[in-house]
Amino acid sequence: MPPKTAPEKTQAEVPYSLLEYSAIFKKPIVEAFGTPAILIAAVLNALEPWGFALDGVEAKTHTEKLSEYAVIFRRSAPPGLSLTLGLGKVVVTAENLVWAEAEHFIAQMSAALNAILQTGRAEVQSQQVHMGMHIQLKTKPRKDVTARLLDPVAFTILDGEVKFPGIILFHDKSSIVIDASLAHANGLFVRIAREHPPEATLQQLAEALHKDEEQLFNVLGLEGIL
Amino acid sequence: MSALAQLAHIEQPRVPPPYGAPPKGIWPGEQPTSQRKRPRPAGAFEDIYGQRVKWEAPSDSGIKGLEDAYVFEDRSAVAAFIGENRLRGLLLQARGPLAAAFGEAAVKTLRLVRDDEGFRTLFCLVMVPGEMQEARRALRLFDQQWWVDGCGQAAGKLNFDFELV
Repeated sequence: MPPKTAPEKTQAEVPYSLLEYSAIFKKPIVEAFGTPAILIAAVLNALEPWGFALDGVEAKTHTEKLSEYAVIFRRSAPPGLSLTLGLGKVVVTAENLVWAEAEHFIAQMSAALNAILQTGRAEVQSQQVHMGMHIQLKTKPRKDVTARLLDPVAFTILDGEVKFPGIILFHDKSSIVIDASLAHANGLFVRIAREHPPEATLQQLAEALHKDEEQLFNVLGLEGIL
Repeated sequence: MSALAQLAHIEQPRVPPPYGAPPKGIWPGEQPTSQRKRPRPAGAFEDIYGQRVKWEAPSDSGIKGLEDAYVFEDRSAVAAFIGENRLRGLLLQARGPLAAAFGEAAVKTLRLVRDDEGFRTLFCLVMVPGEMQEARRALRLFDQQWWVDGCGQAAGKLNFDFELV
């Protein structure tokens, strides 16, 4: 019997990714915004060691809805990282994070979130992580990589040639979209979303995301640096 | 482009107010269901696919417009070479003739190749799943219809070929 050989992996690169973390508060922290200076100072103090400065702080106050009122902390160098604090939630967005920097990122965001929870007296109701990434395939057409995810019957729903078979899967607390990238040739656009309980730590959220990404690469037969 | 990608322009359901209206189905008005609405992103990912947001990823201006047409092998080195040798314009122009000869769906990879004397050339390699004869015919068509006139501008720094897959 010939030895089993693993199917050849498709070389892949992630040229662009965007992570979004959201913590939804149990109740709006209206009182904390009564004197926002204290809250802003606490968050800025927590973030300053990580490259955030006063110049990167914006107040979005000209809104009709109180829920849209927010203070945005942007890191200037390197750019691509921001924390938006509103009355009902805090949202962190980060571009092109790599797993080698995960500990560093978790440490700075933990510092900021602790400042918000303590100074703003916020209580977290739920946490969500969304990861969107463009994955460029180097050695195989993207259509060939995703075609086997769908039952052939699916291809008969509409007539004509299928240009790209993508999928959307909804689970109880998570979802994934695999689409053709609009930005990168022969690329996939993947969005993974997962809801987490309030008590989960950022470390646990990161581990869950890493596992999801690894599983994505395994299922698609991809090889590359996440 | 994929069907899914094209759905991105369809108006997406709005993010529900955090403490308000009852949840609705994913496609309002089309799914009469009381199914609980999925967790929705709060910030950058405002539509269900999230791809409209930031899909124009910041990139080196020297390769602007090339990212969605070519696969980059060794991204930074290829981007630098394109910039140094001002090949962006030619590569932009080549998209149409390449599609005409090899088909819209053909994957085109940009790869830097160094010869024995150290001279570097950027190769655009078109992945062809068919047979050798078919690939040669397509390349000949491309050469005759466009590259013969354009190769002078490349000064030997750019070439086109195919790779059977």
